Amino acid sequence: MRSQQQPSEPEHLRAATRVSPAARVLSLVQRETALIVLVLLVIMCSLLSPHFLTGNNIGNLADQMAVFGVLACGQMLPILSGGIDLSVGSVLALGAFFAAAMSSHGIFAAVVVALAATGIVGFVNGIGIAYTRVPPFIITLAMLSIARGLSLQFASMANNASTSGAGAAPVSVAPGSGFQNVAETPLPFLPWNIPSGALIAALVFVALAFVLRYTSFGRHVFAVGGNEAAAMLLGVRVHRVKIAVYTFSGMLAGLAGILYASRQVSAPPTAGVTYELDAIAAVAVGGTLLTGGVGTVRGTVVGLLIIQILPNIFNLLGLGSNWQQVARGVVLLAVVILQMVILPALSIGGIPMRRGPEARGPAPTTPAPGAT
Amino acid sequence: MKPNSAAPRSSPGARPPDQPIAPGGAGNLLAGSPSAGGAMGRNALYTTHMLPWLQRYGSFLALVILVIATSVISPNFLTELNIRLQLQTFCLSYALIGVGQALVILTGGIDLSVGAVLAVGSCSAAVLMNNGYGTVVAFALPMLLCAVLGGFSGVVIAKTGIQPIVVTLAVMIAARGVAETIASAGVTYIQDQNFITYATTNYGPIPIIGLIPMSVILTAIIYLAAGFFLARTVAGRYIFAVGGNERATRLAGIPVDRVKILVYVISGLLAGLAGVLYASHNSTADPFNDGLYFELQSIAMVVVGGTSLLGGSGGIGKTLIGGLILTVLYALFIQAGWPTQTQLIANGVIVAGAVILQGGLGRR
Repeated sequence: MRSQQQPSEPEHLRAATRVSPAARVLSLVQRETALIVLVLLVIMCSLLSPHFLTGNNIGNLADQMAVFGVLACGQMLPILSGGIDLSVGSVLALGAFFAAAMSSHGIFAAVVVALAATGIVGFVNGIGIAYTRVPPFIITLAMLSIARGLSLQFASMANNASTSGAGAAPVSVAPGSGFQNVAETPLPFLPWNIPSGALIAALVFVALAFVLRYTSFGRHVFAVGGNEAAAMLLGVRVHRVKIAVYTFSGMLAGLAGILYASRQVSAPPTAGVTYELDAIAAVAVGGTLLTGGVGTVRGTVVGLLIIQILPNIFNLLGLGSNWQQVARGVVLLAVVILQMVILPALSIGGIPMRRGPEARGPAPTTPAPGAT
Repeated sequence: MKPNSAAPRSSPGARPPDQPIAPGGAGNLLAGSPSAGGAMGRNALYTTHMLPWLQRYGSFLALVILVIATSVISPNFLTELNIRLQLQTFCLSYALIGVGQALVILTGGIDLSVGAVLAVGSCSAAVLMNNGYGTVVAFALPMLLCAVLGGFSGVVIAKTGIQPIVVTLAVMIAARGVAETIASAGVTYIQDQNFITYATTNYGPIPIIGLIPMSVILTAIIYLAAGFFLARTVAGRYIFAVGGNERATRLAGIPVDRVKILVYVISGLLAGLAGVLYASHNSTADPFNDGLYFELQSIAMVVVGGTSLLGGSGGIGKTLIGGLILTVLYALFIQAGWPTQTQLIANGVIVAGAVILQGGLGRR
């Protein structure tokens, strides 16, 4: 091979790095697994039921997804940093309580107090996780219990203050405060009946994507999740990042609680039970690795849609809710297996398998030529 | 320093502070930061200067203190009737699944599905009894079904590299649906009277044993068997090995996959048994609420007892003490008249506190 005086690569290199169309497609599939599953799901659902793509149904979906969307965003931050937040369901209930309790003082007061209170809860989580060696799983598990107890306690205190001996009954949103409109007003400029709560959730998604991509804080979160010791050695303030991450998670759970209270016009202290699991499922399906360091907001949105569309289509088709549960678990498992096992095992490039060295022994490390 | 991917990594808890931490690994999600605050050693707020014996016997001491405190607050606590009642409550809720959870955690994994699998066990037992299948079938078939569910989790976890949290989360969601499908009528009442009393019968005439309800005897036998299995059999040592250092164990030729599948099968089996006993005691099976949050109780029990969440360290005896601590604690709450919400708060504080006192990740 004669070396050639060209501004681009020599010919033999180009020949070696040519990527077959098949490899390109497979690489795309691996990177966008969740999205492809979602598209297939939507197509299947619209074929199965004529009501699926109606404005009414889309509006319903958007409505339900507002609360879960904000919750999933809140869950994304701790997971990206390599931890997890099991307390978001209970913190949602706390946020809902504070919003409802303060709703008689106006929307602004309600929102501020709820966010502040849940932010404090998240801050406590963060402090515990950053400064002790206790795993985030345990700390947030403990906080799940503590926050649930607090919301029960506050509810019974609030009810005892207003009526006598009502116990832990739901706290009602003050009527006429306009609080209900926070999440319920339909947006006038869209053809479907999408309530404003969905817009708020969308704004949260966009804001989170911006922060993760374009701010140094976002970079630091990925760094801490990817390799914590390396991040620390690089000068990233790991403690501050962790505390911030869990504080934000708490605040977003509080925001979800505000939306919840606004939709339900009340704040039952049992709100949000098992919601944290749905949030984790949405984040995991969306391609965020639970070990941290890898993930996109776009993926989380897709995961959320997949998890929420299933109950929707089951209801539309009139199938029993029992099978719905089973299907959700199976779909979660299937998507995760697909993303993490089947596609990487095909030795295409793309998202690397993030298993520790002890899991499988030497892994195949031959990326497809030219794959990113 | 060797690059990350090539360095054989020992378990994070024992890692010398200057090795980089590789991402991934079974316990990573559950592991706290090994180097909080500084790359070279401990800066955590707790002290490592605790006496070694406090770490060894701390939980037992806590149990004794709790029992004393409770009997002071309520003189009825140490009566025979009450002890029997407390033990029975313990055995009928999370005692058995605690054993399974301990085995799973010892391999470095976790099983979030035990609560839902318990519901599968209770619902299938109820349905079988109501269709006239008899006690033996009503015990055996649910246990088998739940063992299969556990085996499914185990196979997926062992053969793919996916973290146990995700897999058992998915199985938990699906199993709850299975329970709802089995008990399609919702809350199911069991008509057979013999079955209903099964969990609480005593064998009256037999001295001493006659004083103890059947469920407690069964639980005691299972604890003894599990303890023996873990401490004195080869498979038990394998479990510790897998949890301690999975890669080294795999390189040593031990069938790691089979060990993992085994522990998840045992976990499912015991959850099924717990479910049958639960249905027997309550004489109903509720597919929505049976076993709800039991998995968190079982994890709390294992952790409070001193088993490390990273695996490789702990034991059945420790788990038993952890379970008894929680039982006495709940009794204390009730005796002191604290409402449910305070119990939840205190539960959380105690679990976190117990783990912090153990030095974060448990003693290795």
